[in-house]
Amino acid sequence: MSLLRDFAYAFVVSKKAEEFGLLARVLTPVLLISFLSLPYVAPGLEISTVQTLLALTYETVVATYLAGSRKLVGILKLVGMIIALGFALNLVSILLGSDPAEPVTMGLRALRVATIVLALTLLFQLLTVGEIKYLLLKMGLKRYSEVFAVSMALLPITFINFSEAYVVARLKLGKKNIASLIKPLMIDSIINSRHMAEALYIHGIPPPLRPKLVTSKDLAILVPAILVSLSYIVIPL
Amino acid sequence: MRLTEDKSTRKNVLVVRDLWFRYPTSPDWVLREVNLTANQSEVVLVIGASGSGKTTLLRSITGIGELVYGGERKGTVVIGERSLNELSIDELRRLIQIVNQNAYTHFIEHSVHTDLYYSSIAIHGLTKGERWFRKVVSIFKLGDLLERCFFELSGGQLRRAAIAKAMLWDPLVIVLDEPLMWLDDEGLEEVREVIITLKSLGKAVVVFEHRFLSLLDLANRVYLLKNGTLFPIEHEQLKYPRKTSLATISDAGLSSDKENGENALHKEKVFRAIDIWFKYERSSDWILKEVQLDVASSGDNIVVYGRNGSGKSTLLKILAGYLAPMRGRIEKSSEFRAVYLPQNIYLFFTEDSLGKELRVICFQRRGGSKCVERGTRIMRSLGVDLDLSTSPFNLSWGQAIRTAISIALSPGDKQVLLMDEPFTGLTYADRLALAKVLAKIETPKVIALSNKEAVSLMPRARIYELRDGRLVAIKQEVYPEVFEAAEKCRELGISGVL
Repeated sequence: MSLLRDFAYAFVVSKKAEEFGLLARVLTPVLLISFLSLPYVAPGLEISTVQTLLALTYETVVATYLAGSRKLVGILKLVGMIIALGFALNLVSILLGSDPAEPVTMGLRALRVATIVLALTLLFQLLTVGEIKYLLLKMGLKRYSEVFAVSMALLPITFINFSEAYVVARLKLGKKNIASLIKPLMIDSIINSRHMAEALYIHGIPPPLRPKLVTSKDLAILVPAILVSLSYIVIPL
Repeated sequence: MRLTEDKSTRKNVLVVRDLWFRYPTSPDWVLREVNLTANQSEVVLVIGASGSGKTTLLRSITGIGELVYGGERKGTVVIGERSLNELSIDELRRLIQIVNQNAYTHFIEHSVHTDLYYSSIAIHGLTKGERWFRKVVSIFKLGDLLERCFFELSGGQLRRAAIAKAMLWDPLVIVLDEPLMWLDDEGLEEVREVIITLKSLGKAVVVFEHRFLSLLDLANRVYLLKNGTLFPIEHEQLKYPRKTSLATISDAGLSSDKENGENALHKEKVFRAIDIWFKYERSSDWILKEVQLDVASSGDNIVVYGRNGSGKSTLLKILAGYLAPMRGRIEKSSEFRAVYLPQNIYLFFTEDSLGKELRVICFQRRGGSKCVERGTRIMRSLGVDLDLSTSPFNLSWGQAIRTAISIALSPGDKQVLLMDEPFTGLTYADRLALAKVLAKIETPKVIALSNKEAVSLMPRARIYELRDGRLVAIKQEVYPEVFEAAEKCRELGISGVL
């Protein structure tokens, strides 16, 4: 359950994010995600271990500043879990007859995925639901912006209910039938969505405020992100 | 926002006349000829059984019933001297606000500060919005909560924050739907204080609540909603001449003998929690410290009382084997299995029908057809005489709890029921009925409860309080008014859903 809670916290905006302008808060994670995704969008391009570790270190520093060291431990647990999952999936693919990859390569790939996930969580720690909604609106995605706002609001409630449904299903039907928790969880989510629709009717979704675009602290977060992204040019493979 | 009450200027702010309402899914009217009035600085308490139409009334006086659910409304609803029909959505929001049963659903932003601040600015503009935000934060004492996420708040704090959000609109009327649901004794006091504040600010407060005893003294008027019709009732009709405590319990059909604890000491132990220590994060405080608990094989009822967030659910999950203690150990009899009944009882059901629920659990426990028959028999003996093709998700709250108990017990007696707040959401009469059901079942039970009214419904139980992480045996306190309210509810027909 605590892992789930850590997962939820990884998507909660930090109060310290207000210190930076919108531009820097959007660009920092986007730059990192784009850089780390290069090998997936441009086959043949590779990112070295040093570069990945550089990005991971920078993300860790930013996450520690935003979320505090206590919550960072949880977020890093998630990173560890993703790496372990990456290994497990590779092992399964070997069992299914695929060519075995080098353990080091497997580890590096998993590490890169974990670094991308951490960059993604930074996006949510740096931007409020209202700001993401604002950006989506500016992109002409009004309907999606509202769906996004409601989904983000329901996320913590779903996590809380997940642990309850998990305990019930495990004790009632055993570990093998744990998937049976999906039905009550879905029905509960539908009920909660209905309650939320009622609440939104009576409160409305506040129109997003126009956030500050730049602040004096922006360079502190943005420059290292640019440097990490440019490391592809600077540090040879 | 006015901070003082001027009784001479009290006027009707909500007038409901001859209101009828039905949903598009049924030709039957859920509300019939409903009349209701609320004045400034008044608290109007609406009581009624589950399914009596309380939530529908709330939806129909705000237009939610038509706009969100596509229902049909007849009759007149006047808020602040303006008809509901002529109000734009923005005008409506400035006149009436609702706080749902599930207060979580009121927050879009995760941070309480961000959510309330942005809402205030959106409603009033930047300068006035900031002023209102500060005023509301001060009136509802939210200063300490602002930096927290809404899902980190206790039940009472969450309600307070949700009511504060509603107050950002400075409405004339505030409707609270089951504000005491899932609240501990402290949360109850918090909500009471908030209602007193709202009253002092000149707001009309309409409260829909099952646990009405704690709110009776605040209510200027009380209505009973029965079969879709609203009847005004006097406070006196809900009060009962006090009887002696033992007589009350005996009259209620619950034995008051205290032998359970002594007997349990001599019986075979099926679950033993030995020196349990637990915390979620290494750097955080211990949630459980030196917890010792023995669960005996038959007829052992254990109540773990504690405030919201005191660690009751954590203890149940450790007993269930879902969480591992950081120190200490759990010893379990290999013959006995734990079954967990969560606070939100609908999360217990995993299948489409009651019949399938029974078949699946019986198949898992290798119980065969005898198990299904036993489950059906238990269901009937607990008053759930429903067709087995009924979906568990369509049951009322009370029916759902009884059905979940029946399903849990169907594989046989070798079970330990771990129940989290089973009395929540029930009327006093239904609470008493459930307490009788629990007293009748010999299966050992560990029940987590957060209010002393509910604890007093378990006179045969061994009572422990979880305080500062430690589990301490405490004496049972008797609240005769709970039994008397149950009797009153039965007389007034505020029961029967179980």
